[in-house]
Amino acid sequence: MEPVITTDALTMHFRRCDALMGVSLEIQPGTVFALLGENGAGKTTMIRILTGFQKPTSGSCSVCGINPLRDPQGVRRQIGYVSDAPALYDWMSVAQIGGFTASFYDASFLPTYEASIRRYEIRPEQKIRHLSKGQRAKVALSLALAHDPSVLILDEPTSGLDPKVRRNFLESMIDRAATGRTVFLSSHQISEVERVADTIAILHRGRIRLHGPLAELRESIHEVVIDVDDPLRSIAPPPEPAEVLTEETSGRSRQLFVRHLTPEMVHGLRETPGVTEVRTRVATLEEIFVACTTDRPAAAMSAAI
Amino acid sequence: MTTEATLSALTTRRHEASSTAWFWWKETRQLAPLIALLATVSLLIIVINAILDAAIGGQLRFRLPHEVTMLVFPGLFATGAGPLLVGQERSQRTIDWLALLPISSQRIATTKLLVAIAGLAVMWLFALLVITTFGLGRRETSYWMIGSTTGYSGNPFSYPVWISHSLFVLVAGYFVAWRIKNQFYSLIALIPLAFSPVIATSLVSEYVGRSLQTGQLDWINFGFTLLGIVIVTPLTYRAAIATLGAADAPAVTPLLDVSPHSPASETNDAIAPAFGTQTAPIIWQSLHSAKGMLAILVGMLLISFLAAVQLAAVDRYRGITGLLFWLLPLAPLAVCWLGISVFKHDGASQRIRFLADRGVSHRKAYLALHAVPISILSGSLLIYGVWNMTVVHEESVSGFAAGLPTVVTMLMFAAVIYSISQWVSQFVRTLILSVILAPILSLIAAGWLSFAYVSLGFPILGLVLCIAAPMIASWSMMRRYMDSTDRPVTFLAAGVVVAVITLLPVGVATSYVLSIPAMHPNQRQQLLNEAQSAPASSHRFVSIPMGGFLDSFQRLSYPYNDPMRDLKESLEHYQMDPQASVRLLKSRPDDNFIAQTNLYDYQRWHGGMMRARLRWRQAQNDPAQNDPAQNDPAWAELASWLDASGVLLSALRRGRLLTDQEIADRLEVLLIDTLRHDVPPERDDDAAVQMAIAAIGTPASRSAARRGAVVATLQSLLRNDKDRYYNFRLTALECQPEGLVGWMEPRMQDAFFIALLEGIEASAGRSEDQGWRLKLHALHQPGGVFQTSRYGDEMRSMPAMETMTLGRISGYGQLWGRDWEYVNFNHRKQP
Repeated sequence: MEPVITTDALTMHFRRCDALMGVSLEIQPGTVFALLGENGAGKTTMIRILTGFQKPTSGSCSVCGINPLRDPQGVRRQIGYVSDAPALYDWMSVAQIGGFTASFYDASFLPTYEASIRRYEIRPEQKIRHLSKGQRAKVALSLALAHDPSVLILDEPTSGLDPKVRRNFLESMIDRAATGRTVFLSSHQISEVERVADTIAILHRGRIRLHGPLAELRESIHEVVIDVDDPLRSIAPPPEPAEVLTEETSGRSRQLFVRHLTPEMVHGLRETPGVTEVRTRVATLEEIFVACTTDRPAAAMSAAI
Repeated sequence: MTTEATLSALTTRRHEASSTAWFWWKETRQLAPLIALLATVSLLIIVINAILDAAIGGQLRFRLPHEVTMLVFPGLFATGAGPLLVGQERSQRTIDWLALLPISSQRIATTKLLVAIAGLAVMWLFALLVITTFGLGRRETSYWMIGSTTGYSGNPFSYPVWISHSLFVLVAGYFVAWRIKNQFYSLIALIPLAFSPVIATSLVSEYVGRSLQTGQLDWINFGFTLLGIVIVTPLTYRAAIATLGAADAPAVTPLLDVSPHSPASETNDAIAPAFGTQTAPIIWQSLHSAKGMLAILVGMLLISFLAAVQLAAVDRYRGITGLLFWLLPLAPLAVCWLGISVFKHDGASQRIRFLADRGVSHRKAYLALHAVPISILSGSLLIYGVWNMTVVHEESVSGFAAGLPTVVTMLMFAAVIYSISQWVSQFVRTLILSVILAPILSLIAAGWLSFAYVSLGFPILGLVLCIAAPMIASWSMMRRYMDSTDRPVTFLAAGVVVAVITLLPVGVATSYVLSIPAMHPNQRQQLLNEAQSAPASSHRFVSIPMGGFLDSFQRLSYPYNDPMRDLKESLEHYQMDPQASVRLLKSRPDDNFIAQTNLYDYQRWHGGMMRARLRWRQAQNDPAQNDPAQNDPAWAELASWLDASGVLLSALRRGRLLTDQEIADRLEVLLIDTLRHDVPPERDDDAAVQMAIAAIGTPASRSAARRGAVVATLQSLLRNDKDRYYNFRLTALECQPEGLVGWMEPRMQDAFFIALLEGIEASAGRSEDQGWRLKLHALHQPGGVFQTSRYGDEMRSMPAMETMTLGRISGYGQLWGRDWEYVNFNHRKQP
């Protein structure tokens, strides 16, 4: 199946920082893709490039088979986008902004939008400037979804939504994916991502630290806690193909997050002199995220062990 | 299939039209506040002018030219359209949302420009409609010509130049708005760009080598403006496409980083500043958050100041030097924008929010926000004041230097502009509307208060109150403003501010006018009844010829003439026959004539009689002429004057004009003085002496005559019969504010009539009451010291003959109730 979004070695240098460094991704249609990253990791820059607002320093990308730099209008016709702080015309009423936006899409836009607004219990005559933050988010979502886009790009979509609406919204994202649409989600809400995402990517300092189906990633990364008899004892890291993402030492206990850990490796650790106990479990997404975004080179830590 | 295609095409076309309609609606709706604002303000100015014209008439000194006012507003619309439709959308990021919709960049750029051009056309139609409807300007000149005829209308350019220039400003406004994201900077950039055709025209005028006529300059200006439109329009389009398209990636970082962020400055930025007080950080924040804006405003003040310095040093204002005048408005504009910088600039709202969230007192925040702009303003005024002291104003070669306002005047103007602007910046939500509205409102307020000060007698204390009103309003709204709960109370505060600025001068002027006591209606009616009850006059008016020099006399002036010889010649050729003057009066002894003369001519009568008196005295004192037979010619001359004066006096007293009575008073004083000092008792039996004695009136008869003149004048005023009876003027009116003269005059006339009647009554009863004299002094000699005036006791204790004025009336009733009125000649009357 042709990926709906591809990026190839996307690099973006700003004057005093590198926002993206060789980011390559492929997002399959009919999936909910979550892009995770800290503030300043480069998520918004990537979305701006994908939506045709920013030219990258190098690399290429395509959305729905269209190069957003060559045909941004083509891309924007295919997608729906909601930023974390949607800038809507606050002097318009809810109905007016719907009518205005609908005039640029097909006839099905307006009924869908109106149904959505009714579902969110927002009065159409209300001015945008008089809406609460959550209501604004609902209007922005309604506008982004009303033309049933192939790809929905959301930047912190649920910020400002109450738990009930958030839950409904997230379920609707799963439904969208089920109908073959793609959802590109940029979020800090790990629990939400964990609930809806099929595929995730963790972006850290402009680089993709982790990318793959969520279920696979969760299965492949383990927390390993090693108790030793002497805090100063040196222990060799698990052998290849294991990859130590992060490590922390607290007294005689060492905590590692290791990718591609095998039972043999655990057995080997237990057999290591000085190791009194080894406990392992599958890491949570939040733990994976923290592990991937902690600035301690795994190799160096391994050496210290 | 064909049907489907057709339906699809139709749907698409209808849909396209619909999206265009919606797009136009959105853009128009965004422009609506600007259009409504400008239309309201322009109509307001016209209505205010009309009201002032109706209320004050020709006394209005500060008068806005209607036509130019109307022509300026489309230009202001053109200035604001780009920043509003593009700059504001960029700053509020709605342009990003718009760009996400399936609309091409070309369509966005084109639609926005077309909507503004349509708006400009509407503004022009509105302006021309108002000009035509209200008949503004002068119809006899053709505004549609590009040429010198427009100068006659007070309109500096012909309409085609105005219109083309506004289109150029519109396109230029779009260009800077697309190019520069910061709205304030884009407006600053627009100023030189907007004036570039004028600058180019001035450069041509400077270097062409000869002075150009207005019409030629109009053509050159028109040409440069069209050229500007042709050049800037594609640049605007390109700028729009570039802005709406994907942003370029910054260039690859060079190997040698020479960025301005040196390690030292980065270290400095990394150190948290320490402040001793809570106010200091807000001031520090003010300085650092708007560094660029403040620097530009200081630069504008400096440029304007340097232009003034240069203009004060030259005496010719052609070419480049003439262009310097265009730089002068930068100073008030900078003051205005300094006021706006208090509450509106990039990040201002976040700054206020930041302070509010941290519980900073609104009073402290208010003072701190004003600290930097007021410091800049004070420093600028100080520099101006010091420079102004070094400028030679009197006899200066430069007309500009001669007319430089004082530092106090500048302070008042700056205070008005600043106060209004800072209030507008708090009241109006958007920067662009503030930037456009504040200069207009400041200009109106400054103009109105200047007019009130100059023409309505508005005191400086009142000016200070009006200036303080917007400051107090923004101060009182500060807490709510910080909490974003200022609406709708801010509208109430705005109403109070407008009411104070508009109504306080009117109120002060009204109370000033009302402080002059008016005549009670009953009293007025009584006097009118009295005037009407007077028997219908059957008198005929006789003009009294009072010639002087003989027709044969020609005064020859030579530089080295003997003055004594000149005097002698003049004396010999001066001849006036009093009997000839009163011949007609004497021809009908039935008291049916009223003498008509004036104080200027009367001087000759007075002079002639005085000469006769002197000759008579000389004859009496000359031993050689002591013989009664010898001095008969001298006596005969004096007797002739006495006889004629007696006839004239009676005819003057019959007059119903106040000036007749004043002349009669002077003549009577002269007669009495002559009879007392120059007519010996042995001459009492002379018919001329008896004629003169018989003409001398009594206090009662004089009062009756004067009263008759007063009520007749009052009646004539009410009949608006001024040509005949309005023969007096109140000096006090000349000292009153021009705008109030029309309102004060009736009340002052009332006060004048009341004082005259009181004076007539007092003089008839020989009362010592000085109330009426105080009133007349105030009306005729305002500002002088009463006791040293002609109404004061000191002057009145002197002989009337020595103190009365001739040739003019320096104040009515000055001779009334003085000693001469009570001299009794009954004992000298012959039976």
